Amino acid sequence: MLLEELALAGMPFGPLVSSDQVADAFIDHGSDRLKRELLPRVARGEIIFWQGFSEPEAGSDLLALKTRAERRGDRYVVNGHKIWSSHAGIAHYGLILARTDPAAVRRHHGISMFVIPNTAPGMDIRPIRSMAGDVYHFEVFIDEVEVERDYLLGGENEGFIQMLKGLDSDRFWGRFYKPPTLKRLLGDLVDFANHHSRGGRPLARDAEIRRAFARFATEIEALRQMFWRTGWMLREGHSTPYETALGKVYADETGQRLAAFGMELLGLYGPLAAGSRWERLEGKIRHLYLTSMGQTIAGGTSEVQRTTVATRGLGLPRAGRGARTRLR
Amino acid sequence: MDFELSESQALLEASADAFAADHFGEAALLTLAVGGEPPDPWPQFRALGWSGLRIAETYGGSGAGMGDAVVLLERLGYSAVPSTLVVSGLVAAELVATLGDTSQRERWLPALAAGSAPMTLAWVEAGGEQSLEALEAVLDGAGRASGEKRFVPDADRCTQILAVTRAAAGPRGESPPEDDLRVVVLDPADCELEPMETLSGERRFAVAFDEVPLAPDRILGGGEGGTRTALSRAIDLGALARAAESVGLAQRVLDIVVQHLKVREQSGQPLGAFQALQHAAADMLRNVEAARGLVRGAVWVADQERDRLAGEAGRAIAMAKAYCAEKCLETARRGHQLMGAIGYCEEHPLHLLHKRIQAAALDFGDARDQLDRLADDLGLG
Repeated sequence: MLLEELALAGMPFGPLVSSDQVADAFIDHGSDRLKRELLPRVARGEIIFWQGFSEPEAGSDLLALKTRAERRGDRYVVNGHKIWSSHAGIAHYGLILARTDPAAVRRHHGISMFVIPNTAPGMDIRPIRSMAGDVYHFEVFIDEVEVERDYLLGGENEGFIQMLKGLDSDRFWGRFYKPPTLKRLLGDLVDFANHHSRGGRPLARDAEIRRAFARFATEIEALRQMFWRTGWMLREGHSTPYETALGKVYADETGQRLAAFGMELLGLYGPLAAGSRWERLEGKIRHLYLTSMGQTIAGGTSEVQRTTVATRGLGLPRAGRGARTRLR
Repeated sequence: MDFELSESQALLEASADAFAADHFGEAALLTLAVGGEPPDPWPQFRALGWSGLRIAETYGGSGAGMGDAVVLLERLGYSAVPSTLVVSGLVAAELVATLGDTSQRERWLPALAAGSAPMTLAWVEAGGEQSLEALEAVLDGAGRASGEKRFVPDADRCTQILAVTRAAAGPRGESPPEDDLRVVVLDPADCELEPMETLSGERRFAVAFDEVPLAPDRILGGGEGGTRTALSRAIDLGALARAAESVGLAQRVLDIVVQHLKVREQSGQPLGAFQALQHAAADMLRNVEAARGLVRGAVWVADQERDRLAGEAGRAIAMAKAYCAEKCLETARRGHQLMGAIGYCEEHPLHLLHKRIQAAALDFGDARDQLDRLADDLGLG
C-alpha cells in the first residue's frame, strides 16, 4: 500500500522495494557477519542494492553468464562484465551472480551470488544513457575484485535459487505500481481530452477516443486485480510459476499502448523534447512512451514472459534447446 | 502502372545513396543519435539541384515530378539525412507556382530553386491542429499580417516564411472575400522566432508576427482558382514527401533489425531462429512494402490527375500518409522490441530513426486527419 501511494505520487521508490527483498534474502541466506554488518544499515535506509545478472552475452539466456569467481584461500576473486544493471551507479552494493564451478554439467548449477560493494578495488561502474535521455542502467567491469567468504549469499553453487527469487521478485515488485500510475495518467489524458478539440469538436466527444479510454480503464482495472491477487499469493507463500510473468508482460504492453494513445492525442505537441516550455502534461506521455520501449525488454522480454506462461502456466512443451534437429 | 523506376528516378536513387555514402554515413547517424549536430547537407543539396527539384526549368529548377521527389526522399530517409528543408522547399515552390502571378513567380522561384533563399510554410497555430479552418492569423485591409504560428520547420534557416492568413477585409475595406485565405511571404527579421525543441532533433519554431506591412508582391492568393484548393494541394505534396521519407526510415529499421537477428545468438542459436521474432520481422516487412506501394501509387495517380486537385489524388495521398503514419511508426516500435537492450541505448541509431518516423508521421496531417478525410471520401453518411 505504501509503495502504491509512493508510486502514485511519482516518487522514485525502486530501491525501497529491493531493500525489503534483499533484507529477507540476508536473513534467510546470509552469513552472521553479513547480517550483522549490513542489515542495520539496510534498516536505516543507508544502503541500497543493485542486481548484477545480465552480461553482454547473457541476456535472455542468463545462464550463459561468464563472470567468474575463483576461490583463493578464504576469499573469492571475481572477474567479469555486467551490463544493463539498473541503478548500479547510485546504489552501494551489488548482488552479483558469478560462476564458481565452470565444470558443472548443468548450467544452473555452479553459480553463486556475491554481495560486493561498489567501492571495492577493481569495480568500474559506467553509466548507459538511454533513448529517453536519462541514465538508469549501468555497465560494470569487474577486475580481480576480492570478496570475503562471508559475503557469499547462500551456499557456494547455490546462486541459481537466489537468481530465480530475484527475477521473480523483479517481475512483481518491478511492475506492481503500474496499474495505479497508468490509472493516474489516464485521468490526466481524460482532462486533456476534455479541454482540447480537433475540427471544432472536443476530443472527448469523439466516439473512437471515448471507447479507447473505456478500454484502457478496463484493462488497467484488470491489471490491478491481477497484481493484487499475485501479491496475495506471494504473501501467503504460494508458488507463482507464471503469475508474475503474466502480470509483467500485460502491464508493460498496456503501458506502451497507453503511451502511444497519449502521443496520438497530443499530436504535434507529443514529441517535444524534455523540458520544452511547450510540452503538455509535464512531458509525462513522452517519458512513458520512451521508457516503455525498454520495459518489455528489461527483466525478461515479453517473448520470454509469454514462453514462461505457456510452459510453466499451461504446461505446454518447451521447444528443443539449440534446435539441433533443424536442417541447415 | 509501371513498377520500374524511370531513368531519372534510378539516377536520383543512385545519387542519393552516393551522397549518403560520402557525406552522411554511420558517424553522422551516431552524432544525430546522441543529440549532436552532423555536418549540414544543404550545400551539397544545392549543388545536386535538390533544392529546386520540382521547380520548372525556366526558373532554374530541375522540373522533376513527384515520382522523382518521392524516390529521392525515400533514399534520404534510409540514410536518415535531415531533409525537412527539401520538403519545405517543395511545398513552398508549389504555393508560389500556383498562387503567384507572373511577377511573383519570377521574384521568388529562382532563388528558391538555387537554394540560396530557402522557404518554409507556417500554417499550424497554437491549438496544434493541422487545418485551414478557423485560422486566427489575419491579413488586414491595409495589407498588414498578424498571427502566431507553431511547429514551423527550419524557420531560422529560411530567408522567407510563408504564413497562411485569413484576409479579414478586402483591400478597400470591404467585407472578407469568399476565397479568404492568403499566403503571405514574411521576412523572418519581421517575426519573433522561438525554438520548439523536438525529440527527433528536427528544428521547429513558434513564429509570431504583429501588423507586419506587406508589399503586394508578398501576398499570394486571391487570384484565379481557389487559394484553399492550392494550399490543400501543396500540403498534400508535403504529406506525400514525408510519407516517402518514413518508408526509407522504416526500411532502415528493418534492415538493422534483421541483421541483428541473424548475428546475435542466445541459447545456442541466432535470435532469428525463434519463431516469435521471425513472425514479428515478417510483419515489419509487410508494413514497409505496403507503405511503399501506397506512396508510389499515390504518385502515379497524382501525376495522372494533374488538373484534378481533389478527388483521386487527394484520396491516394491520404491513404499513403495515414498508412505510413501508423505502420512505419509501428515498425519502429517492433524494431525496438526485436533489437533488445542494445536498441534502448542513446548511442544506437534505432531511437533516432524511430523519432524521425514519428515526426514525419505528424507533418502535413497526421493519421487521424487523413483517416477522417478518407472516411468522408468513402461516402459514409
